[in-house]
Amino acid sequence: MNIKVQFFGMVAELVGMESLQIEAFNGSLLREVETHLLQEYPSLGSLTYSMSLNKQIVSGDASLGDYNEIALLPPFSGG
Amino acid sequence: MEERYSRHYSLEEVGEIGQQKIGGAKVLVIGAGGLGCPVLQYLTSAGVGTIGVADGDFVSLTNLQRQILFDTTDIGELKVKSAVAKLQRLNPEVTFNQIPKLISSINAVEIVSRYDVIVDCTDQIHIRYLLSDVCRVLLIPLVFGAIHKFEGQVSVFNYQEGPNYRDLFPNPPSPESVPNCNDVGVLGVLPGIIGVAQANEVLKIIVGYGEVLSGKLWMFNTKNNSSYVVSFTKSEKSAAPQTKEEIKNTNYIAYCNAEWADIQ
Repeated sequence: MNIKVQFFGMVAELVGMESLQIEAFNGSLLREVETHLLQEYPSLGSLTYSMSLNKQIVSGDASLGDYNEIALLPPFSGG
Repeated sequence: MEERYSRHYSLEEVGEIGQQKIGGAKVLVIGAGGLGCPVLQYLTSAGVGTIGVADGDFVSLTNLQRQILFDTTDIGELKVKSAVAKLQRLNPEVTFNQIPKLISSINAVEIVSRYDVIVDCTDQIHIRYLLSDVCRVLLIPLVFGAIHKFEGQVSVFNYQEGPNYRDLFPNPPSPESVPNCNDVGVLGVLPGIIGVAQANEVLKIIVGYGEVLSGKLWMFNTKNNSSYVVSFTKSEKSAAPQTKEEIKNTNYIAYCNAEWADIQ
């Protein structure tokens, strides 16, 4: 199934886009999607970010359901 | 007093009682830079009774592109001094406390404990962790704002026992994740938008109307005007110091590996 991944701040800059669609199986763990993204975009490995699934901050243990929108949210430090 | 705040009096949600709450409130704004300037202006205009302004920096020419309280004649002056001089003219009814120093684990508890609401307008990640911990231990709401180039984040921590910064970002970021505004640049109007949103949260907390941005992170992108809101909850496991003493004994700079942030 098709899932949407949104990127923000430095994550979007390193990936080079603000969102993308990827294929994943229902029941996959969020961590597995992250591993896939790290393989496609190894530079993500240098960044710290939190992940949300359907607009709720969750750990990598969360599993995908029927509808999935994932976001990678880095902290911002500027003021 | 009535005439100055007449437009607040006319609002059912604020009114005379709400305005009295604003006039009785003590708010501490930490950082008088891009975010701090608009926060301070609106809180002063709104008639917040006591406003603390904490910043150890001096005004520089590069600040003027976004730090709208300052003008060319302020260059070289202490930010808190220049800011308070202008704010006092804007509203003589407000009492200002000038705190011309960097907040640290040594002084944070003492400074923060004198206020009802804290506004995080700093530009250093280790101070964000420090303020989150101090406000959690002291049970004081913390209105958070942060910016990166064209994007901003706003949230409210420790509001009615709600979650805090560590529930959103448990682990301090790598230096690559949080480059400094000095190095990567920042759109001048961005801190205006984000700072005004922080002032808006402060007023809701003080007066008690609407819905406070607690347990939610609002992200805004000035390039395409897109908003993205994510929810987050209190985490059971936390590496945070649990007492005032533990905070004093924590080296937040080392903890965040943020020595790089001090070199400006």
